Amino acid sequence: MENKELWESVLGDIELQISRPNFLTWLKNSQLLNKNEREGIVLVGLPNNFAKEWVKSRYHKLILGSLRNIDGSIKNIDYAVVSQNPVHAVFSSGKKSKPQESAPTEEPQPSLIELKIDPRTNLNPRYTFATFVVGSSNELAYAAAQAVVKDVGKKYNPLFVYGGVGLGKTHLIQAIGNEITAEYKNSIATLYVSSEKFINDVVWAVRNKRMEDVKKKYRDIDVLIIDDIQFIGGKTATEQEFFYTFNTLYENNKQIIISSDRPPTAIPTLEERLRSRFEGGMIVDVEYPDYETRLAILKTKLQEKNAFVDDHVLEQVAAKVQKNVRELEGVLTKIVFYQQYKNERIDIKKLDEIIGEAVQVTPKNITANDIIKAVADFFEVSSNDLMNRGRKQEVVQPRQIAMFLLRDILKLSYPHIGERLGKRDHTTAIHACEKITKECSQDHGLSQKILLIKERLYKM
Amino acid sequence: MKLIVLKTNLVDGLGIVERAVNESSNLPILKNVLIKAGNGKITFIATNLELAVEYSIPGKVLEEGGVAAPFSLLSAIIRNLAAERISIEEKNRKIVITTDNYEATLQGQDPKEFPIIPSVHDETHRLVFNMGSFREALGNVVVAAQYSDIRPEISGVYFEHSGGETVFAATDGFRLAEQKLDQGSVKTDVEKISVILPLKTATELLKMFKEQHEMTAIIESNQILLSAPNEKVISRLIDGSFPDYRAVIPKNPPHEAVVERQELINAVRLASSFSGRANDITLRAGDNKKHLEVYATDSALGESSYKVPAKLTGEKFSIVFNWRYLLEGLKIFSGADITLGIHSSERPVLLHNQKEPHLIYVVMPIKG
Repeated sequence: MENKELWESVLGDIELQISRPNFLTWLKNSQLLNKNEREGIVLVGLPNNFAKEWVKSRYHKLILGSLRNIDGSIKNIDYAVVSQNPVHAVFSSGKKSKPQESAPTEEPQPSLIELKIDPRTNLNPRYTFATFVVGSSNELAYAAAQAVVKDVGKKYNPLFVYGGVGLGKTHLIQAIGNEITAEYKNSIATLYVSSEKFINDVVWAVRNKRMEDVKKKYRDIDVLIIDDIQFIGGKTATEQEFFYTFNTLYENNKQIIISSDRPPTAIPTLEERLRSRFEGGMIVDVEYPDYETRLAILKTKLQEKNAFVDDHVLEQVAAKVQKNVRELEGVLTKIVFYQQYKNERIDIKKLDEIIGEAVQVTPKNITANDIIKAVADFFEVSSNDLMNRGRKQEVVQPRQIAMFLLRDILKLSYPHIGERLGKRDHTTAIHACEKITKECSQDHGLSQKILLIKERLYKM
Repeated sequence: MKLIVLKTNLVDGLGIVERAVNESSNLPILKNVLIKAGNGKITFIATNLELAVEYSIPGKVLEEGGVAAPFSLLSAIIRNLAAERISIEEKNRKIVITTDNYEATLQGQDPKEFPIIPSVHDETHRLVFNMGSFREALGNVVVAAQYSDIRPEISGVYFEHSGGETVFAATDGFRLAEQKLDQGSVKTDVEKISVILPLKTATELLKMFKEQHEMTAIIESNQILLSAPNEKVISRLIDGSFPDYRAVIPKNPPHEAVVERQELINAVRLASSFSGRANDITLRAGDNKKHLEVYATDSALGESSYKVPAKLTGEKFSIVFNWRYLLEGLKIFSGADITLGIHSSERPVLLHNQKEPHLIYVVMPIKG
């Protein structure tokens, strides 16, 4: 019998024999921590010293008897205090817990300790190079970032970092900012903004006719870091303001660092003059981490959390969660939670469940037509071209990608896929899927394209 | 059990243990105080299972024994009696209280039903405090602590003894107080130890040990025993690590304002009447280096400005505070002057005073 079940049946037995207040006060938050089979000793955890003393002197015989009824091999009980804070819950349940006067939440009072984000630079000190796990997938980006810190404004300007969701772009560019602040102290003014904040500032300035303030804010700095630049595409006034800011900074040899989820060429609404400026600097990408890097990331995170998880569980997680570092962290957090607070052992079945919960991508009712259209849009061919029998060079690969995605996302049958895209044989569809799968693992450009198409699909 | 006790002693004793009685517990015995008579001493014991208090009073023990008595009833009777000497007698759990012209009988309970007060087994972490310094330090820093369900690790007072230095600190995330003890006020062989005392224990301690010169603390992994002759407190400790508060203490602030403390307190109080919902008041120093302006405004009430003579160094500044946090900080100091060390309107401000080098208070401004 499992420890937990054993203890529950013991508690059920004892609950009948002692008064309810006594049971609630002394035994409700108890647990069976450990069972030494060989010597027949069980270790019972109690929430505080009072409970320990009381249970030891008053209920020892009762508990031992009850345990022995279920498991005759048990000879003795040890008691320990397990620190937790549900002590309050035990004995204050009678009264309404006194609403302690606490700082009203609506007041704009920043906190001393939680003041993690530096108000001047907007950087979160959590992101540092020390915590950035480098692998083959992000080596280049990391090296470029290091070079920027050494040679601010001169070597790689602008630095343009792109890559998929949750692969560490923000971490990397904030780490640059933090490193620069640490190295050059106040001699170099750094500012990190999300492009959304930049847009809001420009909107505010336009509305309040205070453009000068915004200009001053963004042009009086030495290092400007802008996250998720793809969002300013299509917002004309913001783009224009950004263009001028960019030029001013660039001409004065100020460092500009930009991140985006795709390369400048792939941001459809970005103005040409901005695009060419981005392309004039250093463009680096952050790719999917490989297995070893994922494992290293898990171990780093674990250290930060100060927790322990079996190596083979970590290996499983690294093998199963492939596409997103944030999800990797999410799964890890859950595992640690299960272990620490629920005292559950994580086996393969449980792990699959956790991964399933954390990584659930909810494909919002995507239809075959959506996929075909997304692929066609991406490659700027018409949907009809894909669905015809034409074998022009420019439609061959898109058609294969469409087949691959239909199979990958919708799990359509091969004959159906073949039928749909140019009335082809099911073997053609099988070939296409296998080909794309194979090429994806070799050709990074292709897997990047597929990722972008998927992202668009899910955003639709 | 049979005792004769002076009323004042009884009132004292009940007053001390009262803080540990839990009137709202779902375990009825916790509403009782345990009275024990033996070895010529009368001891009251009460607990709420987080904290237990034992206090002994002088009295004449005619017959040894013990009983658990309902606290509020006993306390009400004793407080209202006019007589000087009170006799308490217990037989078969019936407690009879008599004076010359009064008699009451109340139902007591078996002392065996009363929770067993945990004892300490390991005396390796033993510290002896000078009571005056202990109370002063604890009282000064406790104002900065606040109970928080979400962050139990800061719902208390942090105590650290390491490398011969002894520090008390507390914070609620918005302000922080720290006081170091004088070298001579702690005697111990312990090299390094740090614990977090629950806020409730800290406030109770301030009301106890009033007449003592010294107090002994023994710290175990999850509890602390504080004792002096006749008085004993045992409390759980908060499990968790106190944040690295030293990192937020401002170092070498470039702007400083030295003002008379009492005058600044008055100014803050005056301004507080005009403060808005966020309790915000503004401290301003202009180009004129002669005064610090304490300013508050509310669109519905009007505005108020008080110019406090000050010695200012550095540039002009304007900084917004929650007046409560500022006032509470000003009040823990005792010197005539106070120095405000300021970096900028968005960074923590340091309150200190040359005459009290061991005490600092840090308060976070409200964003303007």
